[in-house]
Amino acid sequence: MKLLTHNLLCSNVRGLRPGGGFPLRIQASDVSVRPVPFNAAFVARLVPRLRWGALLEAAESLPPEPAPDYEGDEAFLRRVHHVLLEVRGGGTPKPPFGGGLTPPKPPLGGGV
Amino acid sequence: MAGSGRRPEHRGPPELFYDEAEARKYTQNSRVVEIQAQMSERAVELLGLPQDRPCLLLDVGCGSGLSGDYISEEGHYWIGMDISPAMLDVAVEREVEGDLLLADMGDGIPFRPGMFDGCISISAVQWLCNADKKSQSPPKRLYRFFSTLYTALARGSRAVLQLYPENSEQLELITAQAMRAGFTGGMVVDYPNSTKLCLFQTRAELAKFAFQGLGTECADGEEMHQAKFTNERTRFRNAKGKSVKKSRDWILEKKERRRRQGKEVRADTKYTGRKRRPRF
Ligand SMILES: C[S@@+](CC[C@H](N)C(=O)[O-])C[C@H]1O[C@@H](n2cnc3c(N)ncnc32)[C@H](O)[C@@H]1O
Repeated sequence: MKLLTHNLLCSNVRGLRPGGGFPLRIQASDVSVRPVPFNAAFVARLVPRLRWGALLEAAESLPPEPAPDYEGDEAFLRRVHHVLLEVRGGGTPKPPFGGGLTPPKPPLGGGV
Repeated sequence: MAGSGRRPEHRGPPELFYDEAEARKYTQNSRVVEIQAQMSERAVELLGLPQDRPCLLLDVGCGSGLSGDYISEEGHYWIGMDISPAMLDVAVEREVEGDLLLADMGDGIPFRPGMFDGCISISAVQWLCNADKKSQSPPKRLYRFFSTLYTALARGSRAVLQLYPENSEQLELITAQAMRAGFTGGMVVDYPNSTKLCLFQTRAELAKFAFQGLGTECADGEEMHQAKFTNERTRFRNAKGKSVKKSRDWILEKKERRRRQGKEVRADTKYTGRKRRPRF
């Protein structure tokens, strides 16, 4: 799964704790990178949709928060593009199911 | 082959029907590839996305990524979800540009509010009309699908679903659940002959759609590319969901059905279905 998908996910899936997102644990061993065409305007429009904190947990190369004028900062946008769209973690993200709730089947299991 | 004439949805749950063999067969069949591309093209067109602005789209039931390929070609980005690991494996192998998520749409769309600029689904949603377990209720699953999809879409954006309903009751159920979930649009188009495309729109200040049963009207003024759309819809006006017998549309549809059954059919020309002079 790519970090973009992970970042946009929520847990309104039946059986998941409300409001409880889950951190993606990407193991460096099974990360693959595939180039995706870069579009500055697209990435700039994505930034406000992101949970920056969650992104930082997986990608330390990013600044603690986007600068106010990030829309014109191509170097920054390229970094975000790479992290969000080009890196794919092979590991299965593990949603932390709390309160003894077990979903009928892992709804997000096996992100590819 | 036993049961080969039956609808795939009757042959078992999707994650079992789309096993490794089926997934391979699917992407290796050039006719399937072409048809899926055609329908994806139509669906993306109906999304009415702003010109020259790459968007983030959700592809529900993305399978091996044939529909997604078209999205990428158009310069948009996509995330696909599917219930079949075998289909997703083929997508990974094909190195599709979009991202993939293993999930059951009947459990809901697991994304935060307003994340997507649009949603397409090609040949998948009819699967929700079948209960694969006693505990599954198609109306509930459809409702969960639509209500969570509504949330995941940005304000004013659309979902275009191409589907193969088994009968008009299924189509009614699907549209009814979409309306209950808050979608304002609702549209059924016949394309390419005898497949169904539904267009749903989230509530927006500018929503110009009024849903009036199956033969919906497209109110004035949508953008240019909607004109074509309006023409296709007229086919539905006359008889509920069916073209008038012996009309050109009726003949074209019938020919298309025959073609899909693998029968030999004359090519469609401008003369197809034309009235003959009394003395020929
Ligand atoms: C006919 S294929 C179409 C695949 C792809 N959209 C294309 O155009 O090539 C239908 C897909 O819907 C998926 N599907 C069926 N039921 C589903 C469900 N409940 N949740 C998610 N995907 C489902 C199947 O696994 C299958 O990959």
